[in-house]
Amino acid sequence: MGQMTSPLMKTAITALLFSGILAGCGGVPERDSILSEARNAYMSAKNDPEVASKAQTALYDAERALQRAEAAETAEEMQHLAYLAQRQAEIAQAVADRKTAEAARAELSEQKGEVVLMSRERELAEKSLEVDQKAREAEQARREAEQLLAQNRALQEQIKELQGRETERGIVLTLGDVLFETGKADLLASANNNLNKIAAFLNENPDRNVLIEGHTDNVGTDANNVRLSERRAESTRIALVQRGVSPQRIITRGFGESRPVESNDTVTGRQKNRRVEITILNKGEQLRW
Amino acid sequence: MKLNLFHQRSLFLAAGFAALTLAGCGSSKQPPTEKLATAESFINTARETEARDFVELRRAEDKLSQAKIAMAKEDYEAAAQLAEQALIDARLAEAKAESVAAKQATQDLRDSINTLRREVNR
Repeated sequence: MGQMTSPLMKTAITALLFSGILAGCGGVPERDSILSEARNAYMSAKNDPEVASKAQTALYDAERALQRAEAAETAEEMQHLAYLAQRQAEIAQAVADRKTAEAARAELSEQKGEVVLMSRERELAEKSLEVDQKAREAEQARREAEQLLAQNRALQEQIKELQGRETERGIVLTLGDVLFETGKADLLASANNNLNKIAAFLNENPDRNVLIEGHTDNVGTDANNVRLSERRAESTRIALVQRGVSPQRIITRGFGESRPVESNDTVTGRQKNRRVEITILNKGEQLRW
Repeated sequence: MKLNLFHQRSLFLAAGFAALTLAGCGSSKQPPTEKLATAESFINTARETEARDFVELRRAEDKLSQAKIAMAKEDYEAAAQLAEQALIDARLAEAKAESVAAKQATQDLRDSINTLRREVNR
């Protein structure tokens, strides 16, 4: 043969070539699997309720990308667009995941708020109990302090009433001569008031002991005066014991005329010297002369 | 081999058609500089975040390199496609990174609540 192909053959080849080119430009896609992958990715995202509700924009972008892929005119373009579409669907999924996590976090934040509140309330309750406790203790201490203060005041009052004078050993009270029968050791009724007060004081302050000392003026003999002063001290002691004071707390002594407080040269001086001194010893003072 | 006129004309037509068709199939004569720039910028930003740990960002970087090579060869269509793919890979890396971060934050919050609950109920 001279020519390799007949005219008919040539036309056929041309036609084939032509259709082949056309086929490549938007006919049946060559790589079908990539497009179906993209379709599957899209459908799976679309059917996920989280994606549908939380990533609508991203999902829409995926849909449009898929549509572009479907409408691709070459295999290469379709492959490229399908790739984009699939990634787009994955993005939609990731966005939905993120938003779901954020929503959960918002809810949890509320929960945390409640728990924090509970925790604070419990702390407060505990603190409140502590505070109450402290307040009660403080109140207790205050009351005790007040009591002591009142006692002290009462003591001071009593001391004042008894008209005692304070010495380093205690309070010294004086029963004057007028309270005794003249020249005798018998106590008169007028002494009752004082004796009552002294006894009351001693009964209220059982930790204090008593010294009772009898004294006379210089009229008469020493011996008589000593005896009289002793007997007067004793009378006084009995009077206090009768009023409830324990005898163990009291010691007595007669000094006679040996310790005058004033000059025996005057009437008033001598009267003053005729006395009984009751010393209410301070707490802790030993009962001795 | 000598072709007669008929054959010559057919072939010419076919070739011309083919050229036209190929042209109609979207070959671009414009270099996609903007697409590459966008992709590059996005990738650079993503690299500074947690997205750097995701394989999708590696893919994006590879595609960007390939896009630059295609540009140098003046294969603009390929370059454009690679740039688009690079961008979407980077965006996917970012979306995943954000999702992971959100999940972690939620878990941390859950843990802290549980710890707090235990303390309160002590």
